[in-house]
Amino acid sequence: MIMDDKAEILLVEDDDNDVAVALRALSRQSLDGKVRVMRDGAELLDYLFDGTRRALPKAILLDLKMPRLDGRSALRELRRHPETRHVPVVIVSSSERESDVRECYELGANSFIVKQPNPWDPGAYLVETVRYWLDRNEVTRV
Amino acid sequence: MTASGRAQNLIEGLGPATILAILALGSALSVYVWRDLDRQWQAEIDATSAGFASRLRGTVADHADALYAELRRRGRFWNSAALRNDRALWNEDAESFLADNPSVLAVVRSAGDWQLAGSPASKRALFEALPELRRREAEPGGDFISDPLRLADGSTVLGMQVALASGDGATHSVFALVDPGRLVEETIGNRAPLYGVTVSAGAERIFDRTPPGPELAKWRKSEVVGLPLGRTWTLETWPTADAVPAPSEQGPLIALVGGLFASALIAVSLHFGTLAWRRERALRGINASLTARVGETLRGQDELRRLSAELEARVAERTAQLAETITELETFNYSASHDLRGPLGAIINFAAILKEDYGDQLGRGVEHLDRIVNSATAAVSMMDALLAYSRSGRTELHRERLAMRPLVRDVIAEVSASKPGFASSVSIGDLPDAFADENLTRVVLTNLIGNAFKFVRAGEKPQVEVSGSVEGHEAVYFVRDEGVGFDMRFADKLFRVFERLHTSAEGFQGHGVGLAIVARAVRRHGGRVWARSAQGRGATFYFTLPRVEDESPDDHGRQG
Repeated sequence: MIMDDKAEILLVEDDDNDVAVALRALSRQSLDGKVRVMRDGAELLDYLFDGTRRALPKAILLDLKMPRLDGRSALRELRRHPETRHVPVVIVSSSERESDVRECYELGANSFIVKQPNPWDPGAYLVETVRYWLDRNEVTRV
Repeated sequence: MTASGRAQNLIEGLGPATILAILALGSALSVYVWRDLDRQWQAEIDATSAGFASRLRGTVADHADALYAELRRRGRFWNSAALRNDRALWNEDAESFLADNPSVLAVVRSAGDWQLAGSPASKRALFEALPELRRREAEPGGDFISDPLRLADGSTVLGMQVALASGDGATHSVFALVDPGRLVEETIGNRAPLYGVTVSAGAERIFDRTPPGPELAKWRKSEVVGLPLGRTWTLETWPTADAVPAPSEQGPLIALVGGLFASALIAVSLHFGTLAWRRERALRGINASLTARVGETLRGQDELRRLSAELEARVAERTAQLAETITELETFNYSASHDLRGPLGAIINFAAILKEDYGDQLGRGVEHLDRIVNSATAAVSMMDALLAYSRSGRTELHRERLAMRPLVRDVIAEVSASKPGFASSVSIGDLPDAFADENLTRVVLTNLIGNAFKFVRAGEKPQVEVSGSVEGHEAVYFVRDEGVGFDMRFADKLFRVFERLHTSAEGFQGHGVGLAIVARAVRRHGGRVWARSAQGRGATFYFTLPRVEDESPDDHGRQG
């Protein structure tokens, strides 16, 4: 699977506000080109398994509450497929419920970030996360 | 039971009429027995008396006959002696007969002339009796025993005549005068058993012997004894006391008294028997009713048990419903808080973005944006507090032996992380271990120590003391500060959600949730929480947790 060069990070988020804040913050750091936004888990899986050969994404930032296919189910699918089994998945959710956190890690999430409003630098947490995963130069196994 | 009640109970056994009837019957019976015994005894006495009289009669008769026969034998002897004209022999023999037999007063032979032997008194008696003797002499046959003859001195004699045959063909007779009293006395008078005898001829008493002993007065029977002397003689005899197989004279009395006593006993026995029987019957009745009542009670208990089980089931059901409702409420609370975070976050973010990107065009509108951001931030913060409060009620309790000292140090370090120098202002006293959930206890300590750090007078450093002790089954802890304190009048508001005793305007931020969380966490352990303070003079917050119950000394020994 060869992926679109430009999309090294996939952001799966259904909330327009969050997407807007995220894109603004990313674009201010000129990182918006590295991120491809998808609106739910179904779109993510369709994209990953549409038969097109692309490079694997460096990370997938996954919201939990989404229409159609939610974050948990998407994560389960990703970990089920050998191709995507080792793609880093960061859960970005407004939930800080302990059970949610534990469950996601058990399903194979690599990280869990709680969305926080930030009046001084909105979307800063996302920028930090994207930058972190882009900077990781580990070879992702296929 | 009172005396009258007891008497009443005694009477209830048998009616007084019945008792009296039994007593009367018993008395009549015993009187009858008494009379019958008396009659029997009297009959016995009569029989004994009759037998004795008969024996006596026989004895006297025999004696008189013997005397008469002797007299005839001597008469014939004297007769033959007289034929030989031997006068001396006659007198001699007659005198010896007189001497031998004291009842014979005198013996006389008539052969034309009377020859007399005996005392002068006897001779006088003979002369007095002579007319009668002469009258009887002419009677044919010659032999007889006369009726008693009354002498001038008042004494009585019997005359006996025996015809004598003589060679010359003339009639001769021998007479003897016999003292009948002496005769009887000689015959029966000296016999020891005979105590009292009276022999009389007609109205004349010719022999009398008075009973010497007073006990003989009890013998009441007299007997008429016909002596074979041609007359009826009255003989009063008293057989000796031992002649009759004597029933004791108390016998009839004993029969009477015994009968009365027995009937009284029977009456009393019947009375008490009836009483006992009635009581037993009453007891049976009571028993039966008790059994019935116990049965009812048992049935009632079953019913009660059933109802209780039903009630328990209902309570369990309600509890489950309540628990479900609470869970739903908590879930709702959580979800609502959580879902509001998104929009509030967006407001904050976009207000911030608006300010940043377009602030220079807004002029003083920027201030409004700040207010929007602040308000939304406050809302998020309150939501977080509410979520924390909700969490403090929902998490499961994991009680364990909890070392308080390291926990307190940990919390102090954590709370004072952003406040350099504050940690050193805390003094830690005794801190007994608790049996509690670590996370919730941490929340409690974090809030209390956090408050102690928070409510300091502006510009001052806090002075905080954390300490505790074991009291009964509880460990009591307190966090004391020298801060601004609070007004005790509003102390009851302290531990309620969103209640605050200080305002943000005073410089103390908060939502009024922290102490509510503290109270909830402590109460979930079954503990208590309270506070003391005076405005401006610090505050002390107390809370209790279950203490660590002592293990056995052995365990300590092994662990130590």
